Amino acid sequence: MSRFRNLGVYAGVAAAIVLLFFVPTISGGSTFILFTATSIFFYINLCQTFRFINLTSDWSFAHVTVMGMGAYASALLAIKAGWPFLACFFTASLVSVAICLPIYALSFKTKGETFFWLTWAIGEVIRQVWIRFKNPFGGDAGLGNIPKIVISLPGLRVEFLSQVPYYYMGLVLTVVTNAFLYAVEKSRIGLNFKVIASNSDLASSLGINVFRHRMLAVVIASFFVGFNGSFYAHWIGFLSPRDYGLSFLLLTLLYVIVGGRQTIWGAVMGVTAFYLLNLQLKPFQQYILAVYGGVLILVLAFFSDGLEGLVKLVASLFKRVFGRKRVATEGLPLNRR
Amino acid sequence: MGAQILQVIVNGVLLSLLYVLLSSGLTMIYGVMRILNWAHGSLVMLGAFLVYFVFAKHDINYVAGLIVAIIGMAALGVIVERLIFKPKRNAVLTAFIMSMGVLYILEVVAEVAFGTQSRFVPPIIPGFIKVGGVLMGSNRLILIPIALALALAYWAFLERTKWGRAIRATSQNKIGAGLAGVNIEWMAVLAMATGCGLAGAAGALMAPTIGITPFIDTSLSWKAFIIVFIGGRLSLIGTVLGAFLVGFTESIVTAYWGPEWVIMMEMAILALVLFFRPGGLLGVEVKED
Repeated sequence: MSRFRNLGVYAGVAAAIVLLFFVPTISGGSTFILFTATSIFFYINLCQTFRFINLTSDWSFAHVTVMGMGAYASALLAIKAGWPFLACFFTASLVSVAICLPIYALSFKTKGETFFWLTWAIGEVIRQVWIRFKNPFGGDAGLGNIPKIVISLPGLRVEFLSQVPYYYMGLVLTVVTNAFLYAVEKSRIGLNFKVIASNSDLASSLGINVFRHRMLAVVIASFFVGFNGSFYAHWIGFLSPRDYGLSFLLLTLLYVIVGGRQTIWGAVMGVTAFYLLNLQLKPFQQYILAVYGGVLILVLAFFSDGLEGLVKLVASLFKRVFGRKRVATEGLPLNRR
Repeated sequence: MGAQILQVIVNGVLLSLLYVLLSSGLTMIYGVMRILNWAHGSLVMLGAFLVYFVFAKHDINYVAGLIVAIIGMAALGVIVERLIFKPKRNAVLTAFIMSMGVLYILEVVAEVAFGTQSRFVPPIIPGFIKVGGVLMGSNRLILIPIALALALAYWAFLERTKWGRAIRATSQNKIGAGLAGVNIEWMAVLAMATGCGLAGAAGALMAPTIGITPFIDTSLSWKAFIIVFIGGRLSLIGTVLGAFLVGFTESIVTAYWGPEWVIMMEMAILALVLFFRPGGLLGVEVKED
């Protein structure tokens, strides 16, 4: 039965992706809609990788900096060395992995609030390096004039001149990232992750190497978030060290918390819901931070499962009202069920 | 050269004392309730604004402003504790994220109430005093004894009064304190009120030396947290040590390298301390209970 239900979910997701491929046509190439959609893709990737680290360990506040490292690497290689985009793109992700290894190898000695403070402190040191060293990082003013994406393969040259190709690239990146993370989460390794998250001492007594699994999780997350950072750098064309302070971090936390952390759908719902909310809040931009803060407090206080929990609640209510009443028949003899 | 060293020392002492006021409340709050309050910096910012309002705008005297700041922030702290943190004790991360929300709300409130431009509080005592052949603003010199007096008053409260002993007992062992007849709820309120009152006092004392904007809160929270985590989250002496370490680092680095290096140095110290002694310099590794 559950296999069939999963089949339905897969079919639904496939249909949604196919539908997303036609968004540029449906929207008539509207730059605003496509830009918003691409932003949603970017944040979904960021939140999804953040949540992936969260599967095995506490909250890592260095994750945003790891993404920034990829973004800066990609931008600098393109500006200073004139590398083609694809080379920058893959190098960025390798740089992110390379920078995440020492950070987390040091940080996993600790846990709880010490862990997030240690990761935050290391991230902040890196961010200060970007601010302090004007050459090559561009200093406080940021790094501008990052070349737009040009994909040149033998016999094929694609220049990203409008918002449409960026939309497609973001979509492909999101699908690949999410599919891979989902596959890992559902595999045996993902099961090990869950054991570690619920009780790391028990996990290591079962023969699961906790440190290695945690490192594996952050390496996978950093690998994908490096792609995301590189994509962001070339899409926006500008990097500011200010963004990598609290700004991205707050948004990531907000989306993940509002969406929910139990399943892979939480981040997707959180980001999408907030972007829709944001469109309604256009006149109140001045108070937007207070709104975010209020939402954060209310969700954590009254509904810590987030939107995901809401969907689950509605589904269970639906089932209770309209579903077949199986519980009531359980104690009856077979012929009367 | 000698003049500069004297200047560095005076600045270091002043900053350190202000940071003691800023962060010792945070340590006690963490001790009693296991809550890391990121909104601590916004209490300091609001305290500074209250002094501006009373002393600079309405020209009533400075001490009145100081008292208003202390009482106002203590009250605000208790309100926040009752409304938001009370159900989230011991859930450190959840409470921390919620306090981030509180910080942003208070920031926007301050922005609406006071505007975004920098406000300046005039010096309490204008003019200069010559100390050891060096000219120094008497404003800074008068702030040192006030800060010291407040810090000593807090210390005396914790060491010499019954409530102070009860707070320390709660911070060391909640169940034991409860068995000995300490009312834990009341201690939580008291710790929050005194801690936030001290934050307000720190803001009031900082006000004459800086330009006040609604956006100083984040950097002040950073400072307080760096100090608390360097010193040790459960140790008040550790916090004082951390405050002096950070205060003198800031004063020395500002004088010889420039202010833009301060946060980087402090972060590097914090990362090293957390790596080699996760519980802080004088702290113990906190067990999850």
